[in-house]
Amino acid sequence: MLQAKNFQNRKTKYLRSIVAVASVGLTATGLMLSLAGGSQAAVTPITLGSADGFAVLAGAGITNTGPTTITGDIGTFPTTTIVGFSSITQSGTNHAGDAVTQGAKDALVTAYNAAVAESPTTTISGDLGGRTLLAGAYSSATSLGLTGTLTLDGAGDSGSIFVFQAGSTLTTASASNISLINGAQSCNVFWQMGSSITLGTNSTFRGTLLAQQSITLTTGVNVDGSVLALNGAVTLDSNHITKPTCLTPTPTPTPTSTVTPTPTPTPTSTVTPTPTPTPTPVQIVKKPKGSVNTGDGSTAIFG
Amino acid sequence: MNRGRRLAIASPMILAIVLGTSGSAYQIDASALSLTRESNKSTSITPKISKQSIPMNRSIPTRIQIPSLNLDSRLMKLGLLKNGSLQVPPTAFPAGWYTGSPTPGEMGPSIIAGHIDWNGPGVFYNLNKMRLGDRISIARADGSTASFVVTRMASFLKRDFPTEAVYGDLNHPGLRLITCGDYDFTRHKYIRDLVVFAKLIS
Repeated sequence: MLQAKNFQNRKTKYLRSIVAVASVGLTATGLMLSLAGGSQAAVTPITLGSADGFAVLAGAGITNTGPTTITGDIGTFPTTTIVGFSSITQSGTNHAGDAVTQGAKDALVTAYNAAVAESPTTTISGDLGGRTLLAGAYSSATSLGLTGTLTLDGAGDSGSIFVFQAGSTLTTASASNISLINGAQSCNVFWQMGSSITLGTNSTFRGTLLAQQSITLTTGVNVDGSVLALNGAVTLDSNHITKPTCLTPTPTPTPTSTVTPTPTPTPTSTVTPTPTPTPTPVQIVKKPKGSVNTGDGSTAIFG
Repeated sequence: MNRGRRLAIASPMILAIVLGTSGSAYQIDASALSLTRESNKSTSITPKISKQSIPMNRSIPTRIQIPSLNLDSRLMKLGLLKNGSLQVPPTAFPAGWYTGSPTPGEMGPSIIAGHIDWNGPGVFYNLNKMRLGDRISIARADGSTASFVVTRMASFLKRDFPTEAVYGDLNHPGLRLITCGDYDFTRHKYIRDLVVFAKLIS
């Protein structure tokens, strides 16, 4: 009885502290929103880590049909099959299922989770065609589509980041396009899809595609970005995929000093052994929610 | 027999409440456990674990064997239910492997769940009798065997299930066996989950 009472007190205290924390949190959020002018909230940059050099990365193999050009590395793991590689013209390395690919796959999990965790987000739904969006994180509980042209406006900042999250699929129509204006760059655009991505024939797509399942590029699709499928396969058909070069925001010019800086003597021992990509842990991408219901009490005996 | 078993698991819980633990977890102490066991090993309680167990390639697990419990069960595949919780086997036997987790031997936490009871004793009926240092063997589809050693046993209130501790990233190949514990006779349900944490040794 006494114990129960204590417990009750503890619980009340606990609840009180939750309420206190929550209200502080709300105030802080309100403050942030008002500072950001209500339209955009700061987006956390997503780093691809060792997956950065990859133009195509898959979990369940890569299949290509027709002449495809890829600038950047490719790899697939745990299914290491690459079909139709002979018709791919590649500037980069085919890592197949090697240790580099495996390390990159782990980095991809991290990047994917970072994209999922992006918040706060602006809710968006349906077809993105015809819209002009400013930097920010946009989220759809279900699918996203694109017919026509989506314009991403960097508003003069080459560091503007655009993150799109969708619970299920992204499907683009034939000849759809993404237009980047005012400093927006492909390397700063991320598409995180809870299931799969299909890009329509002869469309042009920009950004890093992060699909939990498969990615299909139909005939003639051009991607200015990278095609990264966590668990599923990547299917290609006569595509051009180019890993974008990224312009870092030009720093404010340092005041002119005519003294040419003496170059720091390059240490001759630059042979720092490239660390073998420590395979970062394979994560459980879909963590089961809550507890596990493994018993009906049929053997429990009152003790 | 049963009576003893239930009491054994119930008493640490009471202790935890008296001590004012918020009810998240209690750790079963290695030395306490070894008291009840006839030691056939010479000196050390701590299992000798080679620190660098090399992760194995992916291969679906087919069977679980726990010599100390005389347990040998085939493994079925488990997914997630619509509400996002872990699917459990439809019957008392066999145990099941969560297909969204690494296969046993791969880097990360491989998840295996089984019933303590389901219309009678289940595959993991005796799981709470495991001891630190016990071995678990998982046979895999490629013919290889992943051997694990138990490094931790803990039981968690279901409402405070520590998702990260059980399903979170590891820097080694690990295994988690999950079942229920602590039947609440007033609410007619189990209120805890028992989790056996193990680490790959070969």
